[in-house]
Amino acid sequence: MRSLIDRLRSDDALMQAYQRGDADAFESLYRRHKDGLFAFLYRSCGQGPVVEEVAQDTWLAVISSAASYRTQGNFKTWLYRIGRNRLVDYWRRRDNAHRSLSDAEEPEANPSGQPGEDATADIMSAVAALPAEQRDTVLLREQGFSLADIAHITDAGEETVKSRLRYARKQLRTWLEAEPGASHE
Amino acid sequence: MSDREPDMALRDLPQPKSPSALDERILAAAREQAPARRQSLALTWMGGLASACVLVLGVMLTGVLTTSPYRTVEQDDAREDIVAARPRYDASMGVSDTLTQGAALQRRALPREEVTVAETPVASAESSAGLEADRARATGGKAKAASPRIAAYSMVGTLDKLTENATARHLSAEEQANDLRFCEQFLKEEEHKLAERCYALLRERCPPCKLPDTLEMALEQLEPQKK
Repeated sequence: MRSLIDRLRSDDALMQAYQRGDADAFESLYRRHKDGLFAFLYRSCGQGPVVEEVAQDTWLAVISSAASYRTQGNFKTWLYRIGRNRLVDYWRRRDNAHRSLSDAEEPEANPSGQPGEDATADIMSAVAALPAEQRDTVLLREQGFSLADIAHITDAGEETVKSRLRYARKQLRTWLEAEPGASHE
Repeated sequence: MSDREPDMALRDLPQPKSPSALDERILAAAREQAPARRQSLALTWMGGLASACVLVLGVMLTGVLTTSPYRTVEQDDAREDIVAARPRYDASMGVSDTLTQGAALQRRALPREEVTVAETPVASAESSAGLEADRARATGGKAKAASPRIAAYSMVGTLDKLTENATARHLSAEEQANDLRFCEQFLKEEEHKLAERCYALLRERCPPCKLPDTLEMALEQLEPQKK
């Protein structure tokens, strides 16, 4: 019954409840967004251990700054902004300025253990080959964010976001039209 | 290929789930920090409630004091009289003088009923300049009829106040005699405690007088002098 009520509550309501010390509210909030954030980080980074570390940092940052959280109307945007910034920080700490996956190791297999198909592998490779800003923009859009939200998360203007989306789609289309298994260099 | 096709292709991307070990770590951290926050919020809430209670109590007390049903117009008048007629304990005044002044003051401050009861003896003390007149009235038929016992009791509070404010000084033989006879008046009313208190006041007022330990002894010494 409690979880059903929490499922009906908005993100901000759950966050305010957690501010009052309601840990169950935070659990509901966490379960609502944990997989989406993890998927975004995985698709953007492609390395399981790194994704796990960044996801943990992101959620711990949410917990520690919960007391100062003010109702902004969009917890999810705030969460993904933190997550993306943590990912950028991670690469900076390693002296790799948010490098694209073309410079990094090959993406791991699906961490859920599901067998990957060839088509999926091609899409992953195509996304990984995109410039970091374009990749993040496309992935955030796929998560359902509006242009304004993506602009807020990536700290860019809406027109820039539109432009990145357009170039990313064009590039993906080009690569997906090519023969399967072709290099996306 | 249309614009929709890349988006549809993106939906086919793997949907990795957050590992359960990570979930447990994060939820444990959330629970660990939540109780502290709850405690601080509870303390804030209790502090606010306590402040509000104090404020309400203060307002209620103020209301009770300003609208007290025990205060009457007569009491207010009496209070004004006390302020206006507050005695000045002059060093030149004897014990009987200060007692007389105090009695007059008390008579004004008392509620109307008590003033009526104490009217005769207090008036006698107030109207007489010396102790002889007081004694004559106190032992006279009219004074007895007006219950001198009650009159004596009405002066107990006055004596206490005078004791607190009395100033020590040397009294002349005549002043001593006057004051002793004033105290003797209480003895004759069989108000021994009041007589003792009166005499104690007299002794405090005049340490150099070297008065004997008891009022009776002082009166015995007084009688030969009179003779």
